[in-house]
Amino acid sequence: MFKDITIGQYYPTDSIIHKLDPRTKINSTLLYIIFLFVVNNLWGYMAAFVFLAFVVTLSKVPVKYILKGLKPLVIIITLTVLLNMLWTPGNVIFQVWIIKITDMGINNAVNMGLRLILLISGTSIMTLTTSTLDLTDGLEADIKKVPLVKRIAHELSMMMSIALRFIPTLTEETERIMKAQKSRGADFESGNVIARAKSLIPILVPLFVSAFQRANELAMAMESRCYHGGENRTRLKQLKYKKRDAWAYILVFAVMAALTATRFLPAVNLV
Amino acid sequence: MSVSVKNLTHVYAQGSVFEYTAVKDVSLEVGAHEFIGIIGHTGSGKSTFIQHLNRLLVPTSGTVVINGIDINQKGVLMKDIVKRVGIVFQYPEYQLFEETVYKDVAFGPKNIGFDDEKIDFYVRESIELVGLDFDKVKEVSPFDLSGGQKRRVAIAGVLAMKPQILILDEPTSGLDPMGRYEILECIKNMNKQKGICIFLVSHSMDDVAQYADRIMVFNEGKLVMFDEPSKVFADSGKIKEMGLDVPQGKQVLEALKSRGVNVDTSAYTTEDTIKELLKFFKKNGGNNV
Ligand SMILES: Nc1ncnc2c1ncn2[C@@H]1O[C@H](COP(=O)(O)OP(=O)(O)OP(=O)(O)O)[C@@H](O)[C@H]1O
Ligand SMILES: [Mg+2]
Repeated sequence: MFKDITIGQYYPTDSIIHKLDPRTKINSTLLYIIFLFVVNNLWGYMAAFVFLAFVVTLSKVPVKYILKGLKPLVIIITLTVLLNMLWTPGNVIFQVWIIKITDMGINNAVNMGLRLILLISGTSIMTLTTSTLDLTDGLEADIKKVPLVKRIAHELSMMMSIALRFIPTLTEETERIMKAQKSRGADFESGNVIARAKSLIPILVPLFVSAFQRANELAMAMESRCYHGGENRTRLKQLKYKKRDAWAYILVFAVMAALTATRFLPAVNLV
Repeated sequence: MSVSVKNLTHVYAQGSVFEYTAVKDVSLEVGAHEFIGIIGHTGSGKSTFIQHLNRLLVPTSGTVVINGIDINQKGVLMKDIVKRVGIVFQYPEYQLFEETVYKDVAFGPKNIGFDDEKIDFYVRESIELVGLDFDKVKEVSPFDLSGGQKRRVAIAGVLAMKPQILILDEPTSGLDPMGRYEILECIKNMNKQKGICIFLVSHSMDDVAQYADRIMVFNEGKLVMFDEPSKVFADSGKIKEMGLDVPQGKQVLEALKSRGVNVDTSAYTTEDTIKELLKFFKKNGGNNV
């Protein structure tokens, strides 16, 4: 069940996207997310989709992986689509009892659904092609540019890298504890909501105990190696922009301009 | 309680880049009261294999039949499997969660539907079996115990379910010599006195040599040997090739032999080694060689 979580999962292969500077990827993803909200009609989503498809092809990550990342979010997407469909005023197309479906509702629902799907797949592509180490390095470099929080940039990125580093460990641990409790006859699948919530106690208690223990040990290990945050720390691997990053930025800017331009195309209405 | 495994294969993360075949085409038959040792170097598939015996893992292909019932068949309840097959995992102390030792040990028996009287009896019995003082520990929080005591409580938690097949994955790793000995003796007693079928995974060749009736040797996911200790350890070259070793007693005898001392190297337990050495010294009049 935990194998479906692809957020923060890295797909190791050798592609031009993998080789890009992490800052390029983070910044481009940020731009991409912002402009997904600038887009307001189907032309725009189509353009964004083409761009995404192009990046996915370059990255050599199987499409299956990106779709897998969408799976846990199916409920959220469906809910958004439904809410938009039912609660938007406009010309009623058909009506059952008090449920009215309007033309605006359908348009909104399609827009929101596409936006979410494009947003999530775009972000997955970044995490799938960037190792966590690179990702946090890039983030640290980026946060250093932000006025108010730049003093704690290192701490923030260290916290994030530790958190990311521990996702697989904790899922593994959870699975291990679940197996042990299942062998003792614990049942996580049947019963009502309360019974199920209760059945989580035998997993959560040992999990928390070991997580705190791990955190403690890690802190101790870091301190005993004289770790003391960002000041005066140098790095083995310096981030350096290459030529391909310049090309990537140019392409991204061009695509963002194109996305903005789609606003001025005549809107396509589905109904 | 017989165990019969046929052509068991397990592939992790099938169809992804991380695909890995951890168990390859394993077939075997184990009788009701046997004591089976399982050895193999790190990552050879031992833990993966044992998890198939109570359906924690479902075979990619092959069957697991316990007491005539294919446990992966539709309609077989997990509850009925864990009633018969108990697994004590590596570092089982991480599974403790209750407020008191008594409640924790009672968790398993309660889940499989024993009545209170039975639970009370079995909890007391198992806590004493693993060498703890029932009246002293029953109201203590398991988190206040030492590592070795926690391990014992965790083992008791599985014993209290009265399994007929008991599987232990490295139950003695990280324990002091006395603790190891006590736990192994306890396992042996359950096998000899109660006829419980035991599978003991261990990295200690001495332990499996001494306690097991038969030994399974895993290498890269395959079951390469399944035989009595004397035969498994007969060819030390072959065992060493797989990243394992022969028991220490046998190592001593072989070292002596290679230095030209005329001893019989067929002994594999420490006890037999000592006997062999004594025999040798007697023959030589107790003088230096
Ligand atoms: N959940 C999993 N997903 C993917 N691969 C796994 C998983 N669990 C184990 N493996 C792999 O399967 C192989 C066999 O693992 P297993 O735990 O069965 O070995 P083992 O013989 O018990 O080793 P050890 O003596 O270290 O306990 C290893 O190479 C391991 O990396
Ligand atoms: Mg193991």
